[in-house]
Amino acid sequence: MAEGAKHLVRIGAVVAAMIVLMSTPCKSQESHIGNLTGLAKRGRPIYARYCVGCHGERGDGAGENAPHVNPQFPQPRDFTVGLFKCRSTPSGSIPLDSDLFDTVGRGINTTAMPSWFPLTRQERADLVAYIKTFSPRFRDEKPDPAVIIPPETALTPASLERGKGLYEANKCGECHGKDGRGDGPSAPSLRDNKGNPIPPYDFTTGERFKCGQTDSDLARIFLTGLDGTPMPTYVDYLQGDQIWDLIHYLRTLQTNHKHKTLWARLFAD
Amino acid sequence: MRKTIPAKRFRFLLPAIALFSLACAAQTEYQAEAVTNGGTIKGTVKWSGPVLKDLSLPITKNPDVCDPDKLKIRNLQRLEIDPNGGVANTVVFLKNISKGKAMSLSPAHPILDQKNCRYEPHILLVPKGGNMEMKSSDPILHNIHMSGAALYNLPFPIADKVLSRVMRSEGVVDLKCDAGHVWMNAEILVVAHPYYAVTDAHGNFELTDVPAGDYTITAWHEGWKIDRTETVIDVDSRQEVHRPIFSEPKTWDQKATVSANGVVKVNFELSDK
Amino acid sequence: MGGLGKRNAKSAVSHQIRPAQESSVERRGEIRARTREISWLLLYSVVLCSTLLMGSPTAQAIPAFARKYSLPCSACHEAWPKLNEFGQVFRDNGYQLGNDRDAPITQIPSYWPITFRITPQWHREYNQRVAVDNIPGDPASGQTEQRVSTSGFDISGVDIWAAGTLAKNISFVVLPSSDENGNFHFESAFVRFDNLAGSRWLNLKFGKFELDTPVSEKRILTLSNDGGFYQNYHFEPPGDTNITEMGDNQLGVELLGHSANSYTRYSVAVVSDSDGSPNLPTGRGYDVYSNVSHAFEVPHLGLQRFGVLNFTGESPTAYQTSNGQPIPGTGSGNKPWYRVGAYALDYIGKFDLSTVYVHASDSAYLGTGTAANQPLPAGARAPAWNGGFVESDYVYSPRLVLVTRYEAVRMSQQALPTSPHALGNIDAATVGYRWYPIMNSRAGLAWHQEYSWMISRDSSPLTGRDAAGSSLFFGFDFAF
Repeated sequence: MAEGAKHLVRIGAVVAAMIVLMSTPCKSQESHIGNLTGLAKRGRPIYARYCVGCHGERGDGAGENAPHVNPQFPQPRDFTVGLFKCRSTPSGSIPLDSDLFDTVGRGINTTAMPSWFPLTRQERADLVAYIKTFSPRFRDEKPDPAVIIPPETALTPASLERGKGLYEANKCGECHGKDGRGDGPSAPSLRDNKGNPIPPYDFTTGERFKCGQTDSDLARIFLTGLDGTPMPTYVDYLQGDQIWDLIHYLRTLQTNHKHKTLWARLFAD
Repeated sequence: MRKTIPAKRFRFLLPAIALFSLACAAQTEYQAEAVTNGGTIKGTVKWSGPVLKDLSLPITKNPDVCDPDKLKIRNLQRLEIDPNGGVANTVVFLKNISKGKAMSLSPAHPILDQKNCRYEPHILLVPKGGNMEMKSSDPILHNIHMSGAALYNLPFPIADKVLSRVMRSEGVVDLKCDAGHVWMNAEILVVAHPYYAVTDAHGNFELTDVPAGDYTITAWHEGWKIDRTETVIDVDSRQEVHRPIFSEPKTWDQKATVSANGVVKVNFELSDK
Repeated sequence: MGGLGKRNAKSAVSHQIRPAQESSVERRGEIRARTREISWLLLYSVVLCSTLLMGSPTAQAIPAFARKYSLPCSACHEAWPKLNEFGQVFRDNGYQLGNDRDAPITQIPSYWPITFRITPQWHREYNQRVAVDNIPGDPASGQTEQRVSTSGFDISGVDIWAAGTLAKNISFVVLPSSDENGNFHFESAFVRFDNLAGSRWLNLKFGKFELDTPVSEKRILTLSNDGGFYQNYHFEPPGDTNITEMGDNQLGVELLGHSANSYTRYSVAVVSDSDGSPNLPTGRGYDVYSNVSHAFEVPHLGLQRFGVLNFTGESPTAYQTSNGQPIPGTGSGNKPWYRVGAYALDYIGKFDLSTVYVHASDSAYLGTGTAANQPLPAGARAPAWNGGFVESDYVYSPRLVLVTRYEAVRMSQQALPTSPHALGNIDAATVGYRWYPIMNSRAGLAWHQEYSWMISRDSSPLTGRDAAGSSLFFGFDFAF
């Protein structure tokens, strides 16, 4: 071969090798949820169809609609930071794939994040794989093991008394207020990790939280904290059954929708 | 026809493979080994130029606990210069050392306390992968909300209860308190090797048992300006309160050669420029 | 856009009355011819009225929702206006995301739930056999069947659509729709009580609305005169006086239920026999429509849905008259008809395959246009037919969709034994594509190209031969 051509071929081979090598799995391109495997490359068109309007092409929460999201909602999540509220892993850890899968399927109540449950499970798994490519944390770190939620204890008056004591001893009222209305002394000063104001949860408003609606979901929130918000993890403060005492007490702060009449249901929100 | 050795033909691919290994491989781990006849690097960090006014903020919450001396304001401790110009809380370290003595930092068991609504110490060194303990001596609610190399968010509603967490990633961790104490700030440095020192109140530092060789020594100091503030409303005092967002840390480099059992003096001059 | 009433207009033009004959055989022939003529006239007027009432663009792509929820069009629509599974759940929920922030009180006050849609176009229409006066302007000169073809720039009607929630779990739609001349009617107007008793299996709709058909014609991806509707949703054999068509919006109530992801759905609707025409023009009869389907995910292919539908009702065959004119609302002599069908909606990767089969039958009285208190023509039977369509939409991306469709209707039994066996049979095919140069959360624009062809057997107005037609369509379909 002519000298020049030989060099060109070599350069081409180097470039090709670099491309091949650099695109091989240094990045986490897959997700695993149960027996489902999601692929980031399949998740990409799904993201472009459903998510890019709010979360942006770069996953940084700066989609074209983000500035117009109703001001009472939190801003769309910036995936590049790698902080997620709804997890089953301890505070400071990245979420499990199944945490992201659940959040996508459940949506986040009282925000602009819809429940994408109608998407097939495969689509959601692919979406999770693609979302993970936005933050290097998923490449560099492993998630901690999920927190263990002890079995729920019986609902008794004694449990409620203990729960009330725990609410006061742990100074939850500082942010959530004496009656859990989200009107504590620190409440107006709270900001999320983007510097946007974020109200503490008002337990009197309803039965659904941002990260679920069952007692177990609430227990998990205490044990993991809501990363990206001021809500810390209370895993060091609630031992064993104490978590259920607290949850039983918190449920008493909520209005019970189940037995409202149709009329009241129509005209109350 | 010339016979070519197959391996030789593909030698040109070596740089690509090397680059790939570098990119993908984990950071070169620090290797601990016995250091005999190690040298010492000591010196002073001084401030040059006009001394800046102390940054401080009014104490707007829990003054009974946070302000026992009734000063009404709290120094943010971002730039502490003693009367002789020595700069405290500067972290001096060897930039590019891969082998040396076993991990040993001072203090040996890093513990962060929250006392009178102040983080103590203001700068804390924690070994990478090591346990850091935290507590509050105050009877009011604090939380340690980390950002940067660690992202834990831990509450301290009960005095004297010690929490501990493993600091896994190397880097700088900023601390803030969400419970209305917007002036509370501190930096934790999670470090992979033991050749780090924090200057004392007079700006002095010392690195011991350094293997002989040429080194780049870096002085790191947290940002001492307020880039911008987040305005928050304090319900109790009915005031607008401003949480500061500080400027980026700054670094200065020097070179030094350490000989066996030798003592090298390295001084740093920090300034606002 | 729907061209709903533009179907089969070519086969309904009145034709010349043959001179009277003397013999009884010939008289019978004359009666039959007259009956045929009247049937044609009736069919033509029905078609014409339907055109005026419903011949307008069907608008079911709604940027107002995108504005309310900050979602792009592609979130709910495969390629608007066609819904994907997420959009289907949103619609089944009563245009609510179910995030406790659906009620209008939670929106910023400047949000207003209105959208409009219209399609300026260029199109070419060709009809193979139209009765044309031999000397233009002189009906006495006799008529022959000739080709008629025309083309040019044109405009569709406009839909101005308001939809959303009045309060949590109370949804509404108001859809005034105009034809191309700006004559408005209400295509839809209803209130819906969602999630009754806290259950998504109970949703009650009251007003005028589209029936829960297997594939929504209001969200059809074709717009031309010959291809912009589903033949099987409207087909009536020539001479049939049943006015109710499955594809027309109806007046009544509907109970609908769905699972959390709408993989399982049912609906039951009870509607008046007026075929959606207001002011009680017909009688006091009611029709019942029902649809049940279930979907499941097939790994690597997508969602597959199977369902069955039933539409049963009665239509009046006689009216009281005043000065010879029928009095609206006095329809009586109701005679039954039914439609029953099965369908499969399959996703195979990017292909969205819809297969719908319908079997239908009308009472012989309806089929021959005979009043209930009159004797049927000799040998009259209940007309019955089978039909269906297969539509394949290739959604390359939310911004490019290729559409192909083939549809057929086959009479299995004619109303009159003298009718040719294939009279009224339809074959129709459509091919087209939509490309969306912009897709954001504020407005939508599609470039639409389409070619449609259809043939109605033995239906030409003068000679009873096959009558074919075709449409070629280019247009910009936009909505805000």
